[in-house]
Amino acid sequence: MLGKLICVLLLSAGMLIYDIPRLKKSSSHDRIVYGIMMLPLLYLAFVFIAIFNLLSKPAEQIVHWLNPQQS
Amino acid sequence: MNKQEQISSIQMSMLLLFFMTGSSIVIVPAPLTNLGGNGAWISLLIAAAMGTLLLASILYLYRKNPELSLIGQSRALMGNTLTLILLLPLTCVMFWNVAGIVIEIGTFFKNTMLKETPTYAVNTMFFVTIALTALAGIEVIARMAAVLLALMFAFIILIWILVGSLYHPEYILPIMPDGIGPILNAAYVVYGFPYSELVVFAVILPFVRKKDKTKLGKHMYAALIVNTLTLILSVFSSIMVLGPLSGDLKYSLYQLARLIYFQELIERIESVIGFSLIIGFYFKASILLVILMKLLKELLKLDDERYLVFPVSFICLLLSVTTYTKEAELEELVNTSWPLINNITYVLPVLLILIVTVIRSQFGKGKKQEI
Repeated sequence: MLGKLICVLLLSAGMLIYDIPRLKKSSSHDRIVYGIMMLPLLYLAFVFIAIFNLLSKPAEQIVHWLNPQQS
Repeated sequence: MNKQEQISSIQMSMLLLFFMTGSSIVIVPAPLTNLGGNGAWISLLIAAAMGTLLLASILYLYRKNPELSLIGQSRALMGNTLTLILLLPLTCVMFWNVAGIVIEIGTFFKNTMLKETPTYAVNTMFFVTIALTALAGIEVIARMAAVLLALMFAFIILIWILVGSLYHPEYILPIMPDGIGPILNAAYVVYGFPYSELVVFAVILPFVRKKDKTKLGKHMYAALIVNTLTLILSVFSSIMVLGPLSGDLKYSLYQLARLIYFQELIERIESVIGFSLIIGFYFKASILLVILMKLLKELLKLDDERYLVFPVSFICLLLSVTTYTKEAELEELVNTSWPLINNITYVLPVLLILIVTVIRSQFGKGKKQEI
């Protein structure tokens, strides 16, 4: 867990050091989009440190229809 | 990644060839022969035929509006709201698609070379490289493609030649012992990865120079044919060397490289070849990230998408270490759900835009004739 935390913090620091000076020169629309992008990033970082499956049933039916021999 | 960036039609076709062959040359032969047996090459031909139809669709759309990308065409035909509804799922799936390529390479490393290294360390290194490549832009990537494509294909051909003494042509028969079912099943899998993914190129086709517009179709079809032949030869070589085991041993091209033994001079060279095969994964992920950035730029009406390269790469990295972390789950996804997900999120929007374009152009012709 400590390794994951250090990894996320280092990458976040590197990203912000690179992006913030450039964001200062950008439009407010771009800055808002950048801010919105941080939300899924923070959520996923939390999931990492601390929908597709809905389609698995119909996909299995397609496979069974194509190849009935496969169990 | 500004608007002035332009590449030639040959460079675009090289990007397509890299995108289609990159990771699939290592991954595809094993599940394909596992499902389709000795008839795996027939499955590849069926999937390639479907891929050709999809390529024809995106080239038709490009010919209709060479200066507009998929998003621009969708906006012109269906308005802003419908475009967002159509292309938002495509964008979300593309986020995972970039992550999925890196999950595969992480698994490849874990199973073959870096057995003690944590997956997130491998994936992080990969994503830093991919982000920096995407930041350099499509022109730089296209120039890199020429060198790296030659390197990758040289190593692939070298493997085929050096394992020549181990070929058993009799392993290729019988072709369809269990009928057409397994062949269709394998075709479904290989259609999902990589053939149905080529529709994302509709986003970057406007980067082709205007003077190369007429030659683009010919070059893109040639790239698709080379890709199909490479995959078929890879399946054949895998079956001829590994026989019935070719479906059970993952990363069959790497497995072939392990078997190379030539006059006590050349042996155990799989690591050297492994690194050249990794180029394919890296390049495919880089191309897909560039396409994703271009898509986000147009969809969100950004002035410059370069600001988002690192956050988007970071999101993809976190997706790669939090989703499908178990190998069996990923295999299940690729073999069953991925073709369906691709059809719904990638192919369906393109087909809808194509149908509306065809109807509009026919309707326009009818009106002109009436006048």
